[in-house]
Amino acid sequence: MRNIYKIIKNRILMISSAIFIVYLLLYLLDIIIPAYLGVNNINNLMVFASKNNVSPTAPELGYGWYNYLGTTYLGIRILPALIASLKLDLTIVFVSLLLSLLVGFFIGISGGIIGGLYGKFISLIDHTFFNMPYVIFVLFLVYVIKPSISGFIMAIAISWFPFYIRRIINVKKMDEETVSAYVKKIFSHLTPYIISDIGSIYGILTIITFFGLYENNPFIVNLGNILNLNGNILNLITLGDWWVVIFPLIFMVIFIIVTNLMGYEINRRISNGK
Amino acid sequence: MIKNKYSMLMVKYISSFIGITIILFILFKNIPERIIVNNYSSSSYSILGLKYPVFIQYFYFVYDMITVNMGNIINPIYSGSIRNAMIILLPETLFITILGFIVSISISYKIGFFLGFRSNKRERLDVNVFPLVIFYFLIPLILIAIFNGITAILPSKYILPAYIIPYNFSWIKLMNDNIFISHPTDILFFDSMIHHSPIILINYLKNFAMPFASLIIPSTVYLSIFTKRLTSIEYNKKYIRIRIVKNIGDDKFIYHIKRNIRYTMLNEFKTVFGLFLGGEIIITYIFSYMNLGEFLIYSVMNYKTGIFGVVESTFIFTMMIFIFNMIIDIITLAGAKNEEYI
Repeated sequence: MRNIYKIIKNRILMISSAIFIVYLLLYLLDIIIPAYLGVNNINNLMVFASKNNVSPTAPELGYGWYNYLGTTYLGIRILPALIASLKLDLTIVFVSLLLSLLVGFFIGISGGIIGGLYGKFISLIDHTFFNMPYVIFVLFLVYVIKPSISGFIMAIAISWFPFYIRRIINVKKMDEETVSAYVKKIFSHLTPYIISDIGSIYGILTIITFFGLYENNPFIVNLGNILNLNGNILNLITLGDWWVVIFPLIFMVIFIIVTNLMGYEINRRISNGK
Repeated sequence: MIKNKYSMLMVKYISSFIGITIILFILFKNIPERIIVNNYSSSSYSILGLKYPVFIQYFYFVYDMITVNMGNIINPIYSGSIRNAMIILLPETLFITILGFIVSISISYKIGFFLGFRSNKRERLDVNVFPLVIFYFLIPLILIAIFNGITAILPSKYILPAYIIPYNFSWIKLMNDNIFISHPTDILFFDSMIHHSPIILINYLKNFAMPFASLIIPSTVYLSIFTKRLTSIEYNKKYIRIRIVKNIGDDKFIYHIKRNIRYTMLNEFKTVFGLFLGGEIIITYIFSYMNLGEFLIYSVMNYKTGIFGVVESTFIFTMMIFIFNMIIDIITLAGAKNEEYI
């Protein structure tokens, strides 16, 4: 109760938490009752295609909420497609985040507790990973694992766990500290990062899928694919159809900003001992 | 003491180099051998050492990566040997990388330092750097929508329009969709000036404007915020406040602030440079801009024929970061040495 009161008192944290909860609710609705989007299943972008007009139409009010953000390539309605994309995107984000957290946690904490030569070895591994450019490393992983949904999860999880190792290594274990107190301290230190990582991984996933690497289903319901659609979106924006890219980008940026603001505010409160 | 620190640094970087090559080798070995052999000539077994045990293969692999002896590639923007691809693409890649990062640092230093002196807020340094990658994705798409889609002021594709090359230019050749080979430097900006060709230069600059702006805006904004916060924290420290209160009328405190924030900034450059290169890959793909980054993406897209393009370009980008980080660490150590003498 006290924590909820603290959140309400902090306006930035309150607003960002509210928006974050809206995204999560939409995600849950996508899983439980996709019919609220006016379709029976949300596994293919073409289910959102308008039957009347295959070319992109500008945003228009008064023709139902589906058309508020206009339509994109092949007449796919942008707003329901964006909401539906949360189902796959956030599932990949949560699973890969959990995997990377588990691996990073065990490697990092073992380095912190055992220390000595082993700790130095872990630091060296961490240094090696940080000499590799992140985007390139994740692309290489996607190439090796092959672009598929499980491939994206694996690639993101493998590329992300070094961040957790680094964050855990930075929390030094005091001599008099018990292991349980140390673990608790690490969790308190990691919480804000986990929240902001939800947004960051969401962004990374969008970038990877934007490159059109997933070939099994060209109409996969995913934000990166909505921004690419086999390269047709880049052609459409050069023709002046700005809405096909601006609205999906706003949808993505809001989520990333919200998660980062939440992480930042929580981190600030922890640092100030509140 | 300092000498010992240099040796430690060398050990750290040598082990890091071994670590990087081992990671690349492990990933490389996870690709089916038939794909590797198909992308090489019949000599792949002897050149890549595929007939030897895995341990020996590692040394062949490292040697081949360093000497760019990496077989052939077929992707939508380039078909041919990897070595030729590197000769053609690397100069332009280095040009935009070095120029972009220097411009970004210079602008952000000025802005950040200026704003830092005027900030009275209690600043904190823990800015999350990762969203920077997202901005490298966001800004080019917005710039294309505005400057190409809506206003049609700037071109959004290729390094140079193909129609601009008349037959009498012997120093520049169009190889593929957007691959231009120019002499003597293979960097169109310099070559057009060397050959006194304002038409090529102007068209090049028009095509260069949006990718370059997309590349420098995110890092400049981030580094400006970081420098501002750093300067503000230093400016509000007790020793500076006492100097100001005592009205010591010299500008030496500015020097002290600059000196004290220098190493933190240099350290931050290392993080930003890694993301900067990642951003360069995204941007050059979006603009179809002749660059190693675009080459890497198209190699990743072509699983059966892109293997050596992925390996070699990953290695080159990693080495760029590796060398940059090493230079920063050496500068930091050298600075510490000078300050010990002072």
